[in-house]
Amino acid sequence: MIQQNYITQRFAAQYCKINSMAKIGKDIRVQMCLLKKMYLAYRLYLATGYECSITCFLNQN
Amino acid sequence: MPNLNCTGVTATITATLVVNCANGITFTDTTGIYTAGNTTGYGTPNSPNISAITSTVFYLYDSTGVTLLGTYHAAYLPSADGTGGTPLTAANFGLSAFTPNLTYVLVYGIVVGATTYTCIQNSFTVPCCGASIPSNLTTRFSIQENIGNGAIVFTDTTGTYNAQTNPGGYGTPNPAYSDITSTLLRITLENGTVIDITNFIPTAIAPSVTLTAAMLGYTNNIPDQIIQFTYFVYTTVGQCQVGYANNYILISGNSTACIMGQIQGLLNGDCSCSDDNCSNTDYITKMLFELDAIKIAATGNIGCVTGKIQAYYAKCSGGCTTC
Repeated sequence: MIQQNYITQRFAAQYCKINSMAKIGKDIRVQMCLLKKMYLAYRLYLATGYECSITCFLNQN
Repeated sequence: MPNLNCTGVTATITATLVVNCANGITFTDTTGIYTAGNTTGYGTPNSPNISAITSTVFYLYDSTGVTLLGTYHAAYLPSADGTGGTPLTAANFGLSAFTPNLTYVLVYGIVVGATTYTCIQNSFTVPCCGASIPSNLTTRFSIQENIGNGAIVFTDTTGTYNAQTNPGGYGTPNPAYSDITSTLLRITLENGTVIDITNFIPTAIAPSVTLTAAMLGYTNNIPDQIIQFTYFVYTTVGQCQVGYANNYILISGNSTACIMGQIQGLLNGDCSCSDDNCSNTDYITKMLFELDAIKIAATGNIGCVTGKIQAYYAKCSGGCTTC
């Protein structure tokens, strides 16, 4: 479950970052795209378990 | 038990009563005539002579043998060699039908002159022959798919009886796991093919059976589709049905594998095009939503997703279409 926590923590951080940016009127399109990818990574994790593509993606972003 | 009146009959009257689903109930007086090899048969020195028997009578009692349910005056006569039976039907006794899984007592009488001799009785239980009998069992099942659909797992989820939490489970006062003599799992594929699985008997510790692609007539993969599962549970001798469940299940393992592959490709940056404008991400997110929508809708109204999963898989397997 540590791995799932890692994904959800990364997702939460990204989500909060977008909220903060939006509040001060910054362009959130790129960060929103990253959030969507994190969501997809989370869904991939739920379906297949933790795997390399998820790790690599999270580490690079 | 009924009182028999056999005084004066010195032959030893014997009979067989065959009860089965194929032929119903067949009674045969197997006494035969007196011979050196059948010294208890009808005829001198025994009484009566077979020729003196003018007709026969059958009395049908309830299982206690106390209540007479009907009388059948039959044209049937015993044969000299003790073969050749007569069918007995519910109508013979003025009944609309025999009650499945109920035990009756049958008394056989031979009429000689003005006297009816009743020398033997037999009890028999009417087979259900697939008919259902009252039961509080609440039969349930679930289907588990593997991503990629090499096999699916059917699980009898009826569970063990508990008065508070599972009153429809197996066990007293309901039929127990150990009472199950057979089941029929009828699988109807979307193309109309019907497969019957008859070798599965659930237990508390092994309530599942794995259905491989080969068992369903496929090489190594079960295509996405809607499959009807009809499950019958039989118990006791005579094929009495005590459990039944029927459900249409959306099989979507291939589509799931496909969209997960797309996500993997996206995370790996496999698509040869740029995702700077997030088009691939948006596309795959929409595709994932679409699959979720089909799955959720299927649980509420399977009819409205007919053909959808096949179309979805065709679309998904097209790859990074926005590139």
